[in-house]
Amino acid sequence: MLELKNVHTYYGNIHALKGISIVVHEGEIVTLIGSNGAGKTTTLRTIQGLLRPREGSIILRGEELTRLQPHEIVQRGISQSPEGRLIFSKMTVRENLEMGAYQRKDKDGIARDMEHVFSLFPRLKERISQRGGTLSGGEQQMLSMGRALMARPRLMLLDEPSMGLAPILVDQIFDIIRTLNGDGTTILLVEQNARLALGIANRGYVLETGEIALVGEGKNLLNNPSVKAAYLGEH
Amino acid sequence: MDPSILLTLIFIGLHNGAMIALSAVGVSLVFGTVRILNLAQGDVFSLATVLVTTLVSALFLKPDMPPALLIAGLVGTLIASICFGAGLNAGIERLAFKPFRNRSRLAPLIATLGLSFVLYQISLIWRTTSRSWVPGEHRSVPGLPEVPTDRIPDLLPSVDLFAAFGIQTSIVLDVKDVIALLIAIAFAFGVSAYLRRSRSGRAIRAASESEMLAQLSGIHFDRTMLKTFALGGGLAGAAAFVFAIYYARPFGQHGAQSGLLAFAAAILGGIGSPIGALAGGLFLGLIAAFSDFFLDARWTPVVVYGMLIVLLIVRPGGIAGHADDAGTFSARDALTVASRGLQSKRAKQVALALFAALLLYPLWGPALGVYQPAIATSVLVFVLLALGLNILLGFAGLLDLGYAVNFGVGAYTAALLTQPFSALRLALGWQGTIDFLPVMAISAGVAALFGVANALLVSRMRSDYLAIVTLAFGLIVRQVIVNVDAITGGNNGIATVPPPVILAQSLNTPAARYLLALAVVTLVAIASLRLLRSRVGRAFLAMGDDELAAQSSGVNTAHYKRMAFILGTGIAGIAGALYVSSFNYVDPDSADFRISMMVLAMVVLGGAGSVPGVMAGAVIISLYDRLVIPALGDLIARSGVFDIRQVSYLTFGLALYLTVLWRALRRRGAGERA
Repeated sequence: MLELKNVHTYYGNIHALKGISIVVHEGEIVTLIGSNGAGKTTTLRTIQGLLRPREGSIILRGEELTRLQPHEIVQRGISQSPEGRLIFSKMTVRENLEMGAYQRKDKDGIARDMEHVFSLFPRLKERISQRGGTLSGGEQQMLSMGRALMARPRLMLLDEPSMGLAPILVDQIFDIIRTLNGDGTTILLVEQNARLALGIANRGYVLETGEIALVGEGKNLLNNPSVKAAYLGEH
Repeated sequence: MDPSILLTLIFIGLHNGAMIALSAVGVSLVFGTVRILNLAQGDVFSLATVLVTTLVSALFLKPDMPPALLIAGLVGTLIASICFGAGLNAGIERLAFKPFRNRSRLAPLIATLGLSFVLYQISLIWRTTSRSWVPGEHRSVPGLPEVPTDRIPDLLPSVDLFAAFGIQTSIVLDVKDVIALLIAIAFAFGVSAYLRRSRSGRAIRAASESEMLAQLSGIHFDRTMLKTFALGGGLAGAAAFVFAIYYARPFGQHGAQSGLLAFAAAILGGIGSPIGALAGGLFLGLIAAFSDFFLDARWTPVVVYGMLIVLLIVRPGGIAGHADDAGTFSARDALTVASRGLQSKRAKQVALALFAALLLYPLWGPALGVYQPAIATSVLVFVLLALGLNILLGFAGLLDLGYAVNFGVGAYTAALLTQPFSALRLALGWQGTIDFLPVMAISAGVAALFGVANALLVSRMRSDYLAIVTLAFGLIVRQVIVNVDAITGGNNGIATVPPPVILAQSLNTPAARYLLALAVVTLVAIASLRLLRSRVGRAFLAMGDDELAAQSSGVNTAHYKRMAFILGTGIAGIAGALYVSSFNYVDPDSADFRISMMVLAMVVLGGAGSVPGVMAGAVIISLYDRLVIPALGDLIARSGVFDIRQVSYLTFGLALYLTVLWRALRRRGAGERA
């Protein structure tokens, strides 16, 4: 479905991605793990068109994405819940969700999807007229994912959905990721919590300083000794 | 107090406030989205007032024509004005904001300043083509009107509502006041509803919160920016319509300055809130009406701009709003060039040769027939000003848009000290002569006091607010100079200032004064280069690069900002003293915004931060101003088309804009964001 081939991205003169190649198949959960500064977020931003790669290609269902603007990539069915629970804090929960469906014109479909988001995250329905900035951290994460879902993506990019959340909330969020995937949404998940991520992923990529260090099935990576040592805290 | 006076003042305040409010809604919207002040938006307004008067004349709209036709004509004019403002402001976005996006925050500010002068000039020229145009008299620039003379007929019915309803009272409430107020209210609520309810209105709000998240939501960011500016410009067009029809004349002032009123109203009401801007505009109108009545119309600008400064310091988020959340940024960013002075031996030799040539100018100048010591002295005065602003902007990253104030203050101080019949000397009953060295020192000191006042005002402020505060401060000081005419001679200024006296030797030849200026410039240039390599200079550079990083390296930024202001404005004070004693007069124009802009153009052209660069920039621009424009002016004036001397705003504005663009784009190479 999505294929990155030898992607190089720079921040100014800093070479952040040094030739990354990633494949995501239809219906999969694929995870990118790695430490701070490995290039996980940069990869997601490059896919979305927020950063332009200097070299390499990104292909979605046979179409080259690297020349498209971010909003055009959203139109092609990729949406993202960015890191740090970024939401429109001065807008209400409802408006945030409506912004997620900005590219869509089908009113009925939007209303149905909003109900669907509320069924996944009942808390958001209770907070529907509250401003985004007044929500708790967990609620903001739910809103961020809900906003991304409202675009009705075929591929959803999730950047650190567990960051800074209480363990019980993290479990809840991961259950929902599994549900979404079961409903047919392909997921590319960036996580620092490698154990959880590899636990639900079909396949995983390990990023180290802008390069792919390891690729494998989620279960196999969980048992890989170097992954264990570096990312799972086992020896 | 008589309640009827109170009510009359309130009515006057509300209809004046209505016009501020209409512009303010647009300013609030645009500033809320880009967080950078569009200094050209005020000129979109004034240009649109000219369009409205032109259309009214062209359509032969008259109050005695059939009402249906008149209304149709007026509505058509309103729509045309709105479209014109929208298109113009969208063009400004493309020219002055888009090229610098994610790259610089000072560059758009300066670029819009340049465009604002271009638009101002266009409106002046456009007005001369009006059929009812009668050239007025202007103190300094021939051909520019002091009082607007291109009037149109009064089109709105002037009916006193109280009289019409048979109420006996001395209060006047005119129908046209009510119309102006209603239009402002309608537009403010209309825009508010548009932002809340419509899809594209929500996109504007989303884009103003976060560029990235807006893009992730599928918003075409560039197009949304364009829409925001078009909407802001359309509101300026609507305000222009109301103004021109109400007063039956175009707006004649420079918009970068008068537009500050709308910005003050927008800040007052909380940025991004149309209803807030409406309330802020009406409130400012009331303040102005009361200040006109109880103080004097001459003091109203001082009151209003003073309020803006206080507001920016105390509540930048507005009375009802919350603290502003925009982060810090690098102030010197794309505009400046790194310079560590003349390090190579060769550069030093060139500088020495140049100095020798300039020193001997009174000898070789006459021989070659290019001897103009007065012009050379005025060029040197501008070099001095450029060196001073360079310390502020180039070294310390502080954009002072009211820099000429310090020049004017220095000049007035020197004039008061040396002119035999000055208010100061008469008050002291003192008739002796005073040596020029203490005069320079005192002028520098007084100018530096104003600099310190500025530094205190802005010590905890983001750099783009600093530009706004210094701009407002400059307008206030100029107005105060005009107002305290017992001391300053008001608009006439102080004349017959004697030439400088050094060691009991009066410098009464132009050559002697030229050499004095050359000596001062040389000393200041050397001091600037030394400063760069000193501990203080490094602190300035660090602060200019990144204030936060400088602070965390232990640089006391408030202290160094103060020091930069003292040095930069002190030099302007010296320049003022030199100027007034070389040319024997000073008037409020020496503290004018136009001088600030010229010096800024010199610094940006030469490359802020580079001592030889800004000196070259000053020479180029002041020679252009002193030699090329008058020469071209004579040539073209003889051909009878128009007087190019009036076009100087246009060329400076354009030069300022193009140099900012050129400097910023040259930096593009090093791999930028998509």
